[in-house]
Amino acid sequence: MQTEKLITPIAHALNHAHGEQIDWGVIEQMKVAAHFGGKELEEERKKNLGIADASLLRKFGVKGAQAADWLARQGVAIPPRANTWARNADGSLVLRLGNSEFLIEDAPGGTSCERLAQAYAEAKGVYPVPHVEASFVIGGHAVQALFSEVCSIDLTRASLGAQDVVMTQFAGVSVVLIRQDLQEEESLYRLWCDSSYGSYLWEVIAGIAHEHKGGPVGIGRYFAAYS
Amino acid sequence: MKLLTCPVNGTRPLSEFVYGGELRIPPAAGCSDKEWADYVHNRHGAPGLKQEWWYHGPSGTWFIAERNTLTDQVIRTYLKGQEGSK
Amino acid sequence: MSARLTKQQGEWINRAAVVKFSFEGRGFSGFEGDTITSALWANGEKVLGRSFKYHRPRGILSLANHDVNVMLTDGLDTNIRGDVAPVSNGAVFEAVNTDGGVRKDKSRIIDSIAPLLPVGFYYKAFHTPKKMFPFWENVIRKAAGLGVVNFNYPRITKPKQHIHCDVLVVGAGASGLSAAIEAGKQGLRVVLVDENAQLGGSLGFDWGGSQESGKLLGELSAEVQALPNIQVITSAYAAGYYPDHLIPVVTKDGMVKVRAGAVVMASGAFEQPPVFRNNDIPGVMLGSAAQRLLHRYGVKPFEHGVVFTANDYGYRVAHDLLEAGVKVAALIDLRTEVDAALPAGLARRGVKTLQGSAVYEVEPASDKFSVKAVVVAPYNADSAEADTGSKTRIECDGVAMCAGWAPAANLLYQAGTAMRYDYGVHQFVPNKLPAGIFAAGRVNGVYALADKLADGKRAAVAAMRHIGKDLAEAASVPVSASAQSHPYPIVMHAKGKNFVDFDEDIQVKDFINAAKEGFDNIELMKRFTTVGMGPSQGKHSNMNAIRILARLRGVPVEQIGTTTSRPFFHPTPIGHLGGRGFHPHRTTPLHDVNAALGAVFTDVGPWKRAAYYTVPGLGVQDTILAEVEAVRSKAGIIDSSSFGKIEVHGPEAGVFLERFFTGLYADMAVGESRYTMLLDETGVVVDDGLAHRLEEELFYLTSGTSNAAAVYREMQRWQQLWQLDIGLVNVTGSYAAINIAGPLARQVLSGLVNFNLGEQQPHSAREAEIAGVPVRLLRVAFVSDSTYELHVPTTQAAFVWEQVMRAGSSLGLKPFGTDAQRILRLEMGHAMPGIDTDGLTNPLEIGAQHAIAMDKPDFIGKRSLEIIAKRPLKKALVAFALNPGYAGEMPFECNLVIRNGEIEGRVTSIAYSRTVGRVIGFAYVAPQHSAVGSAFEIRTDGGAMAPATVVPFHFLASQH
Repeated sequence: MQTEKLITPIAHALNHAHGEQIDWGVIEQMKVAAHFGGKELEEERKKNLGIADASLLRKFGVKGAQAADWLARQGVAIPPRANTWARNADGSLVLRLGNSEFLIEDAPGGTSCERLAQAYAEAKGVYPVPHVEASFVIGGHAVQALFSEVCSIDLTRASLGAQDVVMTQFAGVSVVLIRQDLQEEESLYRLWCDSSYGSYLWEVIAGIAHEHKGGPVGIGRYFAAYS
Repeated sequence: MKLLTCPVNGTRPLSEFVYGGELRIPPAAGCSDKEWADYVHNRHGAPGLKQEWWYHGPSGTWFIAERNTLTDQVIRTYLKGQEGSK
Repeated sequence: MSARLTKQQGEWINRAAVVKFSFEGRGFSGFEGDTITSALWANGEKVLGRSFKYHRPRGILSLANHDVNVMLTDGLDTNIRGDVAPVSNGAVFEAVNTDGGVRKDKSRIIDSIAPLLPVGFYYKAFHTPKKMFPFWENVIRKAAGLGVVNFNYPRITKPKQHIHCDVLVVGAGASGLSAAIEAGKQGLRVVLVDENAQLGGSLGFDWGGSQESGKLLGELSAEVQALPNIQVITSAYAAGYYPDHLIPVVTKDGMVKVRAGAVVMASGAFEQPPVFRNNDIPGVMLGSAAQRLLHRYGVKPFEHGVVFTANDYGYRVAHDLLEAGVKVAALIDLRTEVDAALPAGLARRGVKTLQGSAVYEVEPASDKFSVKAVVVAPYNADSAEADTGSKTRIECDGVAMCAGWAPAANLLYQAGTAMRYDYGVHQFVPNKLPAGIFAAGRVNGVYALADKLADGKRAAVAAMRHIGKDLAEAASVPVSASAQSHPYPIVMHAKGKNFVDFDEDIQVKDFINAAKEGFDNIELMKRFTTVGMGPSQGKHSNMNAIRILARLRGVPVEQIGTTTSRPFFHPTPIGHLGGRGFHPHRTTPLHDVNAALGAVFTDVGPWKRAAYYTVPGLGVQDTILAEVEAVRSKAGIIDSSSFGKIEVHGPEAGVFLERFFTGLYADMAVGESRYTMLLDETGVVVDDGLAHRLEEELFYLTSGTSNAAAVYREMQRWQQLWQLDIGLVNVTGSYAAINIAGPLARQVLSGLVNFNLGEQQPHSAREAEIAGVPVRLLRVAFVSDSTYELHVPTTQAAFVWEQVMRAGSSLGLKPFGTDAQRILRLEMGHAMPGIDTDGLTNPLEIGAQHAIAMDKPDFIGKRSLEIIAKRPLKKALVAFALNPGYAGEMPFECNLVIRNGEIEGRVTSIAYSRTVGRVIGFAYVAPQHSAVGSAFEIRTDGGAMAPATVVPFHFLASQH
């Protein structure tokens, strides 16, 4: 069997997900779990407490005193304050991590990161940050119940602003979290963590999700471009 | 669990932080061996108002907390070099 | 005979749902909402358990979660508290502390020899003769302890949740409900916690013959329900106080950690028993327990009883008993001065009151299973003696006892509240509360119903003001001016069995004896008598113990003080404390690839690393040596993805490295690799690694696994002080690392890379491509002189590994793990910080002078090194080999180097090297004995002396 060139960083967790019917697929050239069972099952899980692997979305990062200026010159929307995020016209996300570090993540099918990587030349005060995080989409009725178990800070809607970026710990692992309202009245949360903790965190979240009649679903359930 | 306020990321439980010891100013260049040894080896354990290094792990932020080690009250926190800005 | 009453207003049971269960082999029925105890009591069962020490029959004491003599097992869980645990259909219960059941407990013999077993007897009695102690120890251990742990207990996850609120109210009695409603009305997030199944506290049972309390409870409950911002958690106890208002609330299924802006403690008070002979016979219970039975479960506590009181509360209990149709033979009041309206009120209902009298003793049935009568006599408050010259006997089948209250102040103490003893209400009340914590109701010394409601409101307003609400301060509510507790409700009896602590069977005379022996400080007395150390943690015994000790010493109670109740103040199952159990760990992107190759994993810091790869039919030691041999003879491959990897970008990157590490870096050519060593300010070795200059303004730093995160943290700190024009990026998780080592390593890779590998010099680094994947190719020499380290983007690591394995398959390329790596690096003579150094080792002691550029302007630890260099060395790290053919006991790490009977140093690393053909290692010796060829001896664990010789560090090179 030929090993794919790009494999999701949570492959270990997926390989050991007993009881899951995984359809493997290649999206954005990365080997990922495209589906976990049929549509009905995935929609039910998504409604209650769904988690999807979004690690395949391409990322680009820079940090440094001049990073904001440089990105602005490339036409990137700059979030106004530390620990906030913005959305570019093409749907890509711009996270301002602290004051002078930025993570840009492509929207499904987007090419912003590729463009920025090509435009990047070591400008003074702008330094590249490689990003191969494990990244998840989390949503559903029971999302606050999940958060209250894995995180000790208040992440209810009242406390987590729509444009806030939160750097905290989930189940003992450092994560970056935002709330992304994709559809009306439906809060989705996006989470990034170090790739080496990805499998562990996926297992923890998927395990709790199962207790709430939720579980892993394919990324296409959240991003129509991949369905 | 105690709460601590990172000047960049806000108030978090202590489990998100790493203690980095007391903020101490090294003696000037040209100090005697004795002065230097006192700086690196001796600590002032008496309780009172101390400036301490703290590190917020999830964001990688070092900052200073002014803490009364007798009452365990944190008076204020700030980024090193920006103590005057608050 | 059924003791069940007709339907009572506000009762907790659902008479439509019958529940069948068994207790000690006999079937019983109760109703949904019954506790085990209430259901059994309704069936006329009064012997529900045996006491801890003397195995006396016991029934109900408090019915408030402190009846620790009634603990049961259902075969799965143990120490289930019958007074609060609900009955369930089909449940099979047994009492925990019996030898043959509650009725025929063979250990009841202990009660008759009790005089031989005073408190502390086992400290003294069994230590001589010494050789008998193991026998007695075994006997004592069998007798001690409650319940049996089920080792086949299934894993049931008890999650821990974190919730956040503005105001937490602990206790949902009158004052707690009032506080919650007040804060709820302001739209704040309120959490209301109560250990009972339903709201109300004493409003639900302490009626004093009237229906008013019940009605009020209905109104308050409706108000709470109408406020959706009040989260109610019942059947759960607030178990402790932690800084910044974090309060763990223990529920049946888990734990909720509540973080509050402010806390209102409306935790109430524990009713305290008067102390008299046989106050533990089934049928003798606290007045509040009798009321709970009546109003919650519709069960009569007894048919015709007496009330023994030392406060006004007993009269309320008497009225409730009468309302329910229980005959009250008499009310015995310990006090001489009583508000005349109270006895008059009872007299109107035909109940006589005996003032200034005590129950001298309970006369039990011969089996001690029930009450036959009480003996009443005039009481002398000064001597605490009853005048037995004029005693009277009253036949009855039960006693409701009321002597006063102890505040449920456990969490207040934990939060740092200073308490004072109030001589009006006769209890401890808060004197100075910590910021953000407010007390209301009985715990605050406030007893009258209207006062409790007002106090709850006042506390809520104060709590809201604390979190910044703009409200006017509410009027203060005074502590009850009339005594709610008796200052000394103790009745002496020559024959004892007047119990103070029902958990541990501690009698009044045990305190007297303890004081005589000198244990007259509350903390010492607690430890000697074990008062308050049973499962109810002194909730019904500590106050009386303090009163007794105060009188023994002739000092006021506030001078005795109280003992500290630590969190969790109520016994909590280990499973709740463990919770779900998070064990964060890092896996490399090659984890499953390694597993498929037979890897056995080991923990290295947070990482799971392959220790070795199993080979069928080969032992572990031989497997590891075969992996070493593959590297020495052909080629090996190891997943080193856990190595620390840091990028330093920018024009001042070289300056940063020169300040941070000991060596020179600014003059490195692009493509060059150099050794890095990090010291702390005292000149102690912290870590080492390599710096690779990949570009003019990009250094790539690699280091070992375990220190990586801490070293990066230190870099960030120094950078904040130095403010150099650099960018620091921790890329440990972004790159996987794969090492290919051994004489054929170059051959394995030569067909895969896009340039001539022969041109790459040792100690160099370059960027390259393998099968289209960009890699960083580092030529290092950690495990072998011929090693190539590939740093690959994480998500492409499995692909690259497969290309290398395929290329090496015909050349004998074998995977090797961390165990083989340990031996390989030893053969190469590489000492490792943290293994071959400790928290005091300076670089001169490990011969690392070559790595230190003392002529640099400054680096971390330089000033200390200048001082260290002036002094004579104290120890030196040497490489050694045991004599060829050494066949004695194998020495281990940390075995001592002994010379002339004195300790000279220790072994830091040691292993058998098949390549060298000897046991090799590193050790510290005295500097004058560190020359190659010097001999020394290592003392093994078994005491043998293993002869060793100092050899050059590079064992392999020194072989030739």
